[in-house]
Amino acid sequence: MDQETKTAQSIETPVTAANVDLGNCDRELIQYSGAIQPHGVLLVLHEPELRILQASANAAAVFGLSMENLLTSDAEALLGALNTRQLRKRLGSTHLDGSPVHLLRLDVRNEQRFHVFGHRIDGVLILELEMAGDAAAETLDLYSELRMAISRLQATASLDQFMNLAVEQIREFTGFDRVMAYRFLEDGSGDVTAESLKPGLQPYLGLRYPASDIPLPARRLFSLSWVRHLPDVHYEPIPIVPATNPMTNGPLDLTYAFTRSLSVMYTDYLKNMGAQATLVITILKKGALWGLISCMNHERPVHVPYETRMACEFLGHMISLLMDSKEDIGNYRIKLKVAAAWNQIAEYMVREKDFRDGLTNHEPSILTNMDAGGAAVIAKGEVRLLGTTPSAEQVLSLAAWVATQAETVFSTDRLSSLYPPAEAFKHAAAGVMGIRLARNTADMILWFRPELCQTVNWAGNPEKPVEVSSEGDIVKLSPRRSFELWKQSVGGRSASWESWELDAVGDLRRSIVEVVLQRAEEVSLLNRQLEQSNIELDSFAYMAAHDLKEPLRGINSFSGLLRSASTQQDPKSQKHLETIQTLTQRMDALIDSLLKYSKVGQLGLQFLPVDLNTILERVVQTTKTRLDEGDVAVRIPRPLPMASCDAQCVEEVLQNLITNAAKYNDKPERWIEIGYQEKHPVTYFVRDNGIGIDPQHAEQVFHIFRRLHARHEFGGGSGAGLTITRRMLQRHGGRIWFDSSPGEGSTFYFTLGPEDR
Amino acid sequence: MKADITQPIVIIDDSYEDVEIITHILTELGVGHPLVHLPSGAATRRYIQNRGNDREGARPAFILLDLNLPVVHGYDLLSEIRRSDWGRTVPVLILSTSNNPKDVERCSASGANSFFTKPVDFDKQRAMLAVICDYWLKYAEAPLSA
Repeated sequence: MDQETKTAQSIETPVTAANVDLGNCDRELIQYSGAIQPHGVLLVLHEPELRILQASANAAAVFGLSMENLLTSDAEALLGALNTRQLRKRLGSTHLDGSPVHLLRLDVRNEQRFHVFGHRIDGVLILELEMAGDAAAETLDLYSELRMAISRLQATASLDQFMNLAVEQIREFTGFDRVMAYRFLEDGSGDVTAESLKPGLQPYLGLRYPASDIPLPARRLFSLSWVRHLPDVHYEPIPIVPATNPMTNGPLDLTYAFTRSLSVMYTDYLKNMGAQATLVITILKKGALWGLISCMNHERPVHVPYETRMACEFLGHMISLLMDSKEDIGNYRIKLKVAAAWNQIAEYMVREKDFRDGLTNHEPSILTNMDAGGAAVIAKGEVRLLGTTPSAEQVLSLAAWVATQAETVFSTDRLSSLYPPAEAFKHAAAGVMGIRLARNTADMILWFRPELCQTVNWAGNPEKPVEVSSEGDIVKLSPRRSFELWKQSVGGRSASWESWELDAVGDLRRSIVEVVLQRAEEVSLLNRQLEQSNIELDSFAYMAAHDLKEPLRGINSFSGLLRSASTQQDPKSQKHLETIQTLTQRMDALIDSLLKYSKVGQLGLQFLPVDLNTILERVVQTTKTRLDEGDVAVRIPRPLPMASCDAQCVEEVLQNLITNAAKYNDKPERWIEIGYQEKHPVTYFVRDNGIGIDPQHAEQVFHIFRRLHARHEFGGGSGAGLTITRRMLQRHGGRIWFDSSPGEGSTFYFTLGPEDR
Repeated sequence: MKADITQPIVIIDDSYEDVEIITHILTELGVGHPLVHLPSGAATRRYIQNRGNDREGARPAFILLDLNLPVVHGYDLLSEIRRSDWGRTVPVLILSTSNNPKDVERCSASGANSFFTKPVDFDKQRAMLAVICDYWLKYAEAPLSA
């Protein structure tokens, strides 16, 4: 395609048309070719008198003068007084320090019509004359054709349709044999994505050209000029006479001259491709080079006149503008769908206790509507998988790696080239896209795409863009001659993630972060409220105790007064008064238990290393009377270990369990065993040979005021002991449970710390 | 010197029922000291003032102070008694329904002589009051004046 490049001056021997080959063509100083193409005439003038300094060799014939005469004349002698006056006027008012500007139309000797373009460089004025077409008729046609073309382009529904129509339209209007839309890929290579061609030609559609076919400097050049035209690949260069610019004493700089003779590398490349003439239109997307529309004639040269080129340039602008919106429209429907799914997911997240359930447990999930094989949610060290994914362990390791690499939103279509372990799961995740939920954790959501075993159809072998030929002793490099289909399969890659997809998951990320933050705020508010209500409960418990006890005390006391004052009352009434007093005593005990239970939650526990044996000894001592009364043997087979706990709480726990064990026993020989098991956490137990507990009451024994026996049996009790015990252990992060065989005994187990995870 | 029989026992308590029971028990116990009932903070403050003017007769043998009173808290009355000329050394015994450790601490720091939880049970209450009266009326030597 286009191999012509221009780079900064090299410090080595300058590379010009005289010594260029493919090894150095990226350094070829193409601006010093010293010749032009035959469809133009070039004049170099000195201002302000417009004296001729240099001219292309074909100027003499065009103007009907000898070269010597021409080189001693001036603009007026060549163009006539009227044209020269007009030219001067334009020169005075136009900015000419860049690309050539159309200055006037010119009839030379009433035979040939030319367009005259001018620009200034190195202190001289360069005029380029290009043969004009039958402009008057064409302009009108072009205008209506353009208008029609644009309205048809606007009506297309997808980018593919749009591009197909664009190449068709351009072929219609320029008459080229072949018109292709060529899209640049990230690595500099390019695909032919649409093509319109004359019947019988070999299609290039779907072919890929290696990056070396259009080197970076050339691509940069494309973004600077909209239309480039080569009418005849086999042209004979017309030299500029004299070769040296008399003003600079150096070669004439033809950087901006559009009729400049081109690099032989470029023309050879086109010849090898079988092209006779080309026209290249640049397509930009959002200001960046997107691709080219490349026109070729295979059968004969064709000179596209200035007017048509202007129309092509205009069309290039329009395509660039419209394409942007077409590409967006292509994604519009799916984008809407995804946005709607995100909205629903946001609602699920708000509704669910755990936001992750909102992401994965409903329809739509984070995978629905996404073009991905699987997805994973990684949060709090846990992995949830949807669809086809690597294993949970692989996902965790991947997430840990991503956390060290990536920004908040990221993607790759060739994961294993960045993260070699991914080679093992490329069938599920050759490509990955992700969003990170927090900066300093590996919490993230990943979407996976499977490996795509693509076949790339190269236009010729991409490894061999040049061919070596020998002519005698001289080895010469030239652009490859063969553009035969070269198939290559590409592994380890997935389909590419598109920018709208990254935008979409970015939106999801924002909504997750919002929900999670809001959730955290709610939790901290709840905690504050809970703390406040705990404080209130504490003082409430005391107030309630006080306020309940006062009337209770009154009832009890006045019943007592009645009993002692009226000894003559009948025994039945005496009995009733006694019952009233007993009831108030029981209510007093219940209030005390409730008070105690509510206080367990308020206690500021002190976790210190505690020798449990000392505590146990003290408990046995305080319950001695009871133990002795019941003739209960206490067995401690081995000393208890040290434990980190609140000594007062643990004392209360042991006291409760030992008292219960002693209390609920109907055997003639009673015993209690206190010991522990070396587990994580250490599990303590209090075992007895008592009455046991029916398993169906397993949970009820821990319920406050729930009694399993008649009040007078087994010494009574308020029914809050085990409830208070359990709450104390829970405050330690531990738990309590039991094994029991009714009639044979029970073993209560407890731990003083959380379970190992 | 031991308490004189003319020295009153002052009961600061808003519960007339409690006071009635206490009065009954003290009578039953044969306590011959006059009883002064102050049912509110305002009445107590008047008493504190007038004791300074000696309008309320002999200085109290001891004061039974209930903590939970409407409007003013028992602590404040305790402090006011301790700040008055005559009340600096009078035995003040706290009688409270609850045994909130914070209350016990605070009363002791403010100069209470002892802290009792009122038992709900009539017999226990009687036993407790008997000990208090024995202690403060028969055995303890109290300073004669501030």
